[in-house]
Amino acid sequence: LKLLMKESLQEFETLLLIAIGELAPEAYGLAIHQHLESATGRSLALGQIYTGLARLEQRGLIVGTEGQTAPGRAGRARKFYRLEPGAVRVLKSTAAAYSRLAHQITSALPRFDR
Amino acid sequence: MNQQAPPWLGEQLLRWLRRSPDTQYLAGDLAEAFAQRAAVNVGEARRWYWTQVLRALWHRTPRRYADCPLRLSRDAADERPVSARAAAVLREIAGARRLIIRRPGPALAAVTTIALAVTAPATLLSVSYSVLFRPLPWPQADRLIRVWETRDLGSSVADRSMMSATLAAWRDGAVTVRELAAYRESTYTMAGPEGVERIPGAVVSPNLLGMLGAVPTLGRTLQAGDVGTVVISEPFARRQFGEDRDWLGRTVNLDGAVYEIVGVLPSTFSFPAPDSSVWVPMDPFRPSSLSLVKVIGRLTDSATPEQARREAEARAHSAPSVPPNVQAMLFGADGPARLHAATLLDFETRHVRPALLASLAGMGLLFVAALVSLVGLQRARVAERRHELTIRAAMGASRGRLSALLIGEAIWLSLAGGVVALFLTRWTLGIAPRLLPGDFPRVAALSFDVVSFLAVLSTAAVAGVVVGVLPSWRAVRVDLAGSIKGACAAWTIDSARSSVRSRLIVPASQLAVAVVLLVGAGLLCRTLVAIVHEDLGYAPDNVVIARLIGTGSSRMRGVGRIDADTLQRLIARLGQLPDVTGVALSTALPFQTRSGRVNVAHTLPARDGSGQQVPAPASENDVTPSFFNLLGMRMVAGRALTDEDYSRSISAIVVNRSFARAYLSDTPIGSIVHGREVVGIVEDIKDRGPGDAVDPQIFALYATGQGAPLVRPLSVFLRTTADIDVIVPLARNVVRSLDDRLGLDEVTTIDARLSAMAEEPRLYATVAAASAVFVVVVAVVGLFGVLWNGVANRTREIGVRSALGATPTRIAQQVLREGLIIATTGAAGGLLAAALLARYLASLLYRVAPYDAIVFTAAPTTLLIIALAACLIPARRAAAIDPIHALRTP
Repeated sequence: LKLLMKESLQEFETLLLIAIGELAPEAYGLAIHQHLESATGRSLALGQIYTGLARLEQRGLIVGTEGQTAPGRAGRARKFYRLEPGAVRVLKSTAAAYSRLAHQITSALPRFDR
Repeated sequence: MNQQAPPWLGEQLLRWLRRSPDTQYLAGDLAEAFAQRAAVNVGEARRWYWTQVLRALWHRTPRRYADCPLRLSRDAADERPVSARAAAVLREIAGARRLIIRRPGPALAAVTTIALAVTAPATLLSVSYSVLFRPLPWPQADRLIRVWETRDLGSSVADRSMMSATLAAWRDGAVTVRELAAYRESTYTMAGPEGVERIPGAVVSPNLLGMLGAVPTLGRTLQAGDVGTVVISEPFARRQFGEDRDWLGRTVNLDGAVYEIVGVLPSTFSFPAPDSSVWVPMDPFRPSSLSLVKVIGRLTDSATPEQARREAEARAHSAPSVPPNVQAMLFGADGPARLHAATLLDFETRHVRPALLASLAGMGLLFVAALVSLVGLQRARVAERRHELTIRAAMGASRGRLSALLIGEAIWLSLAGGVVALFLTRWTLGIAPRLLPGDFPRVAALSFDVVSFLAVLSTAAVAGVVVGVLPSWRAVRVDLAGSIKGACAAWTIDSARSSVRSRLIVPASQLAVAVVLLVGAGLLCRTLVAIVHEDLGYAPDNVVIARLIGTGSSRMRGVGRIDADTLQRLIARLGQLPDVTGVALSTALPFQTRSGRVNVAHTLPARDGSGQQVPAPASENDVTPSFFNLLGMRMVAGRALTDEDYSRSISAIVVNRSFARAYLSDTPIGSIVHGREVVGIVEDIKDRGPGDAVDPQIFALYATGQGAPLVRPLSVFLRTTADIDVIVPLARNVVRSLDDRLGLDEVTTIDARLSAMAEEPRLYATVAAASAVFVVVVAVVGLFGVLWNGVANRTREIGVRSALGATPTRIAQQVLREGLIIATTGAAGGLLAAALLARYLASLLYRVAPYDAIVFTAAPTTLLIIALAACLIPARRAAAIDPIHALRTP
């Protein structure tokens, strides 16, 4: 299990990466927030989004670039994120880990029924 | 759509409390979302906005991710763009600051050491630069040379001068020099607003001022053919004639001759002395003249000083010959002329250049020693954190990142040390002019300037790089394999390999050097104390001394002619000044080597009673009777001179103890010396300062009664409780009111003279003490670093021992013992070296033996105590190691 964790991501981070991939090239903080809220049906804090984004960026999985400002932003710029090649690979290994996990669960479940 | 602005306070809260780099985007997003929501329902939007702000304050983005639970492998990390990696490295560097603050103790030791290690060389570099290398303030000063003449084997009375005949022979058709100029320092007596004074100046060839780039503020400089003209300095002009700038065309009376002022030079021009005020023209190029002049030349663009020297020497041999006896008189020997040339800068700094360069080299060694200590200390700090570093390495932190952390720490430390050093260097440069002897060249130009700033900066940078790079280079050799097996393995092997070298030899030799310097400083300080507290045989405090001078007699430096009546009134009137308790006159001005003393070579009957006459050399000093009492001299036998002695038929004299011991019988009072009767014996006095070898001395009555022309200089002694600045103008007034051709010169106090004489020993003592403090700090920090490193490396071992029942006291004792072994080895080695080296100091010592027992005991004892104190900290730390914790951590 440890091996699984090492190359994979936590759930929230995985969701962030997916959101960025889907929203690109328009993936900025508020857009990601709204996308995730609708996708998960949970109320999320925008600060939480940014913390996650910063962590991913710091690990080199995504790259943020400062864009133009837009009306209603009090003159502040948007920061657009896009996936780095490493992110795709990590997502793949995460998927593999999850499918291994799913396989373990499905193979284990029949034994619990007895 | 009417756009709604988000609550102002919320934005400010975010700005204040969530200081993350991404807060601006967050705030922008919040504002955008608020605008969208407010278009539907303002109240709901507000509630939502505030909830988001508060949650954002909770979800802060940490600046560093050291505690990040998941870490990518190195490969993935390296795929990041360079900018991101650089940013990460910068964050490490910034983060290192917090590590320093977290453990301030060792960091403080490091900062102190760095500050000292930077200040000392930076100060010396600044001094060396501004004395030895900064161009002289003349135009194209590097082309100026100073040339002088000697004869073989001769000890020259001609103080690096040249005969004008030689100069003239060289000047005609010289190809290595564009121009030659000559000067001679001179002092003039003139009547000024405060009475007669002595004015420092020079006789110069007319082209000299132009050659040195003097630009007159008024009038012109000197011209060829000028006679009876003078150029004066602006401060001098203001003092003499007041602020109205109508100085040109006025006259000054120098040494009884009248000169017309043709030009005024700004105060920035100072040559040959810093306070030169008048420049009188001369023509040094007449081949017939026999005068000695000092010569400055301007080289052509291609010539070297050596070429100029050879040309001058060749020409000198074709100069009209000078009678051999004259040559012998001027140069101490007869023979072919030898010429010497040096650039003006080299010439002016020739006395201090070797000393400064030697101390630069010494300082370089001290700097290296300091760096060694600092590296040791830093390694100890790294070793202490090896666990943390290993874990970070295991979690994929690259070598670069770890290096960045350690180098970052060194950058912060050296930055802090550098800032402290900046202030310290300013301070040391500020006091340096007062510390250095008065004749130290170019001392006035010393200041904290760009060069000093750069010196501090560069030495601090060197310290930072060395202290940062060396330990981190070792530290990041922790490889992942090693760290998986057990972090300690890699570390202990690494440190065991170098244990003997770095754990014993390096700190011990540093301590040894510290002992040597402590001994040296101790000896020199005791010398200084001995000099200051020397019993001079008289009471030197509260005595103002001055030389009585008169116009028209500068060669004699005395009172040309003064009648007895004037002298008597002078003594009486000076005695009436407030706070003056005694007035005396003497022909000898104290503290002037030989000057004013007349050496008499009487013959006296030999003491063995054989009746033979033997020579009895002595110096004679004529004084007024009040002299003995005023100086607080102690009578050994008989009585002092009194006023009644003036009317005795046989002259009375007082001799000093040395005289009596050398020449007189056991009942000296009443002896007749050369027709004069000895009425008293006085204790030897050291009127030339401490360290003076007292020679036999005779005190005779100053013959005020005769009023004859006086060719000997005359000094005035005033015993007064008043401040010198108060009493001197009053005394000057008295002198002037008696005769306006008289004045007081070289006014000072005996205390000031003594203090000036102690200048050199004080400098030696200060420099030695400062270096000693520096090296002691460096050595003790080094020892501390080594022990701390040892404790950190052996945490596990100590844990095992403590688990097996060793008490904390015993563990602490073991560390202390190790420290003491190093310290005593160092101290013993240092004592040995000091004993070998001490005799070289002997020439600088006074009343202190080179093997002074007190110093040789106190120096190692002091060092051992300090070293022991430094050992206590690692010892306490070792004792505090928790065995369970130590054994559990790998």
